[in-house]
Amino acid sequence: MMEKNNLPEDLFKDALSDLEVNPSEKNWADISEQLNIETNKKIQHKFEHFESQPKPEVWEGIKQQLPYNLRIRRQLNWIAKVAAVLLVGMLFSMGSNMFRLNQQQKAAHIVIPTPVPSEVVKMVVPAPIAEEGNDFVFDVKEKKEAASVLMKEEEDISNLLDFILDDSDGIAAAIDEAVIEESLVSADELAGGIALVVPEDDIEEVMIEVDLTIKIPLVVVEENEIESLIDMYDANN
Amino acid sequence: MMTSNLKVDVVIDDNILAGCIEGNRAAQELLYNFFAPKMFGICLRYSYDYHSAEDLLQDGFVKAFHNLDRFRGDGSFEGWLKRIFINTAIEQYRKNQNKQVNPLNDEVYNATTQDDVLDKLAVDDLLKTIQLLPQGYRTVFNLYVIEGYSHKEIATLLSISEGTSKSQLARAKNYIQKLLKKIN
Repeated sequence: MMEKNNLPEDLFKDALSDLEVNPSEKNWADISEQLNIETNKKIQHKFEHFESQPKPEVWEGIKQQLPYNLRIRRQLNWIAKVAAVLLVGMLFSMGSNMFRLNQQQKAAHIVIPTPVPSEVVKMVVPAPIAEEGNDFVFDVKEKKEAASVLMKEEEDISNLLDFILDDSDGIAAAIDEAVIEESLVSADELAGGIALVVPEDDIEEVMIEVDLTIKIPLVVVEENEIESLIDMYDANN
Repeated sequence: MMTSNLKVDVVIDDNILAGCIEGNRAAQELLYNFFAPKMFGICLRYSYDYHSAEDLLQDGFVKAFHNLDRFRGDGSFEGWLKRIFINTAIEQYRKNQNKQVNPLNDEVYNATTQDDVLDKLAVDDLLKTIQLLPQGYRTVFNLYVIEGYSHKEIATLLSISEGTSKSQLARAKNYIQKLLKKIN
């Protein structure tokens, strides 16, 4: 009976006494990690209350770099940032205005050519200088021509100016009449102007070339107005 | 001894912090005296010697004083200050990253440190051992083992991969183990 009872135990004993099973690598990894955690905790604990008194010189070094008042400094920083933004905005605005002004100035500059001269004699007439408050700059470059031709040209210019000034858009009111009058005097009457002495007999042979440049300021005449004025002038002549 | 008695009596409260923000030198010095030893301990762990630890301490405190008004009081002030010092150490690591040469190879490291040796070891000896580590190993070791950051966090902080963080830690431990064997 006893032998029978021991039989299953013996069977298990015989079968399992020398049993070996290799554990998976994960088992060792888990154990190793656990050991590492414990080691880490020991190191952590060692340094938990670790302190060391630095030398007094360190504070001296820090003191030199300390800010005086953080709140004031922050406010100053904020103001400086706002000022910088405003400055950039202002510069941008100025730049765009200058660009626009430049574009308009280019558009407002017109040159009216005169008939081609048959003979040119070198002579320069000084341009009348624009006075303060004068909205009309009037440059005349004159070469040489017979007195009659000169008079005719002046008459043409006068007619052109009359035509322009006759406009009802308020341009005439902005023009200094005295300067216009001064500009329109005969060339030989201009102060320091041409010393044109033409014998009466040769008058027909002497030709003149007149380059007339009229610069109209932006505030007075717009580009489309200038073009329409030129068109109207051409149509009338 | 005098210093530690003084520490017990001093309580860093909002008034002292407000004084520091307003540029009160006495308040700033009080704050420094209170936290300097603890922060210097951190600096020593992240530095290779005493002198560079002093530089780190100075940089950290200057940074802290300049940003004191940003402390919102959500957590402890000491924790906030500690993070500043750790970040300063990480910045230093990044600056020197290109200069340092780490002895990287495919050697298999045994990461297990002998605990009995560790138990007997004084903190100063352990500190000296840590200071002997190359900067990369030292930084990862400090962040993982002592500060308790995960490898993922370390990877983000140091701009390295998680694998690099793991291998640097393993190598750091192996390095320490060898050094401890030498000491014993």
